[in-house]
Amino acid sequence: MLDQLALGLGQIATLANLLVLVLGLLVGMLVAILPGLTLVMGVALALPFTYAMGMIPAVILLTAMYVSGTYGGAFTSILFRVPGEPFDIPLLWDGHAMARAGGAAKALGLVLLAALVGGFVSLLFMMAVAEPFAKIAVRLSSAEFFALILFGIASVVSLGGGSLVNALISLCVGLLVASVGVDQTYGVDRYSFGLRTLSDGIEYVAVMIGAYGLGEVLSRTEAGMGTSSAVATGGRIRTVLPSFAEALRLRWALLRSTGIGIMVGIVPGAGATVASFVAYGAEGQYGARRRQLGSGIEEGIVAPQAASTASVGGAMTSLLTLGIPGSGTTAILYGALLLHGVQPGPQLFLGNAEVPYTIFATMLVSLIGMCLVGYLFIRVLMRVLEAPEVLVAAFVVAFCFVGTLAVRNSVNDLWVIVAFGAVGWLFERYRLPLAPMVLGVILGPMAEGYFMTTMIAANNDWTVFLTRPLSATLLAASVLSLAVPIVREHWRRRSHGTPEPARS
Amino acid sequence: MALSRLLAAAPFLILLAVALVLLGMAAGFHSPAAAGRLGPGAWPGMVAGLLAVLAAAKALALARGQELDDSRPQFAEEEAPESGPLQPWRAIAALSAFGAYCLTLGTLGFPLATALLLGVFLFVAGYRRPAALLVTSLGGSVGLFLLFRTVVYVSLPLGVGPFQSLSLGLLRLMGAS
Repeated sequence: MLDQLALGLGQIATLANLLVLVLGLLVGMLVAILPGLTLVMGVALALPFTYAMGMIPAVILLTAMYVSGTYGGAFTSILFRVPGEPFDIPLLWDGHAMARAGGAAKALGLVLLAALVGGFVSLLFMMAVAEPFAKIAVRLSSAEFFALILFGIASVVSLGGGSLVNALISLCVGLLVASVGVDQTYGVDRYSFGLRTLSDGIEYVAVMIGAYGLGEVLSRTEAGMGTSSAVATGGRIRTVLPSFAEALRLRWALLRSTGIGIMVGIVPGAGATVASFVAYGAEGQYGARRRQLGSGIEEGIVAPQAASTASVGGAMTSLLTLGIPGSGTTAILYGALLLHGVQPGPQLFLGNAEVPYTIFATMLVSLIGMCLVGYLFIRVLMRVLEAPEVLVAAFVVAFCFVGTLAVRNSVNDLWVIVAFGAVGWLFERYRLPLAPMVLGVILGPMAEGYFMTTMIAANNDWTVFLTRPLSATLLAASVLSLAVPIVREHWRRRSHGTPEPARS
Repeated sequence: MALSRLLAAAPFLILLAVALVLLGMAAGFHSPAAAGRLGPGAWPGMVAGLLAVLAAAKALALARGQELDDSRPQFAEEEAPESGPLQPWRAIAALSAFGAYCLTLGTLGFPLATALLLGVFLFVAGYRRPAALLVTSLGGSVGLFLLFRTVVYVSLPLGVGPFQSLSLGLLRLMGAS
């Protein structure tokens, strides 16, 4: 393992690849700092730039962006109460409170510590379990893969918050969008309405760019965007690292949150946002100072940050060993690897081991690099916040269109992103969450493929999903994860009485 | 009151109708290779069926003035920034601009079409500094054109007729082929 890691480090240690890595770190942090431009969106827009690159530089760029993007948004959360990314929202509660009380430098130091600990522990985990995990995964059947994907979808839907029914509706829309085009089992054209473009299927990158990119811009346009600088970034930004004694006192919060981040990251489709909120919630349940959570305590800062950075390792493990993206960002990485002729999954360690070890090496160097960049250059990076929001949005729009053109050079794809931009905007208006829809589009073809393969092999005997122990366990866990919130809500309504009718 | 409840339920009634249409279409997907097994319509049919049930339940609840389950706060909404009244016309105008861009890109070519898109979008979004708007639209469009053509090697539409001449002239001016 160490010799292969050394080979991975050797891949990075060329001038060109190092420059690409630094570029990835800077762009990842910039994207994370800018509200309205999510990390998933940023990585999706960066994907077309990788078409002209070799596989290794492409993987280095996108991995570096992913790692540094989990750290960059913390600065705006803590300093300006503006979450750069959805997973930075918990940092508002204690991080900004600590900053308001004069402890901004300390808060930034705690974030750096948490990102380092979360990142390194999850990297060690990934390196330790990836290859053994892949050897087990090779022996999994299609029934088990289907159950695993279903469990991932159910977890994201139930953990995501908001209306469960709305989340399931969103998921179904995504699964149906993924059904458009030629069916992979029988080669039958579905839902193409005679249009050649639809026969080719709907690119999930176009859906992500449309829904997350244009959709977000449309929602902000409707709400009214700032036409002058939103945030004044004057003043000194310092980072003060905690002492060893302080860090030792936070060890349980760090380890618990890192563990949560890794486990949530492994779940297909869940990512940094779910990890961050679950870790914060766990701190509120089990932390020694749980009653003070929200008032500006250290645990409230390290928990979400450690979890969100640790989720990168978990999501990468899922991608590399199972071939199932662990998050939206790893879904883009999945697309990048396919583009360069590499099929992520258990066979990767048997045939193309340089790829996973290059990713491990990139993550190792990126963790150190992002902390250095954050420590030394954050003041410069934050200047981007002085640009009026409307200007940033205009360039996001332009990048959305150009990035989509770069995929297949097809104007029809532009119509797809406009259509999903409208869908994203309407989903926002009617409180339908976007994440399950995008998840359905990404995981739908895989889920259908495994389901159909299983049913065909078992001669339509659906009990095959229940007779295999792992598959049955995962299916039961999926049902439980959906049922528990419903039952809990039912008991809550019974004990507190019927809620007021919804406003019209 | 009844009308407002019906309006709230309307999007889900539309979704129900769409789901039923897709379910019907799925029943028509056949393959000779699927004899005796689940066919190509099985998976989309199951999903469309589930969507129809969920949409119907949601529409019914809203029409009765109830919510099925809205108690759990959605993560990213908890700290949504406070904003003024919504102005849907801005979003519709922006969406129309996006559509017009798709329609005219092939004819006008990337530089001109993108400059118009940026300018119109900035204006619709409320940016009212004419000089800055012009510079941003033109400069941004030209910059993106050169970046993607000469650095990333993405083939961008050049337009037809005089618009193509404009795009090619721009490339020659910048020393690119």
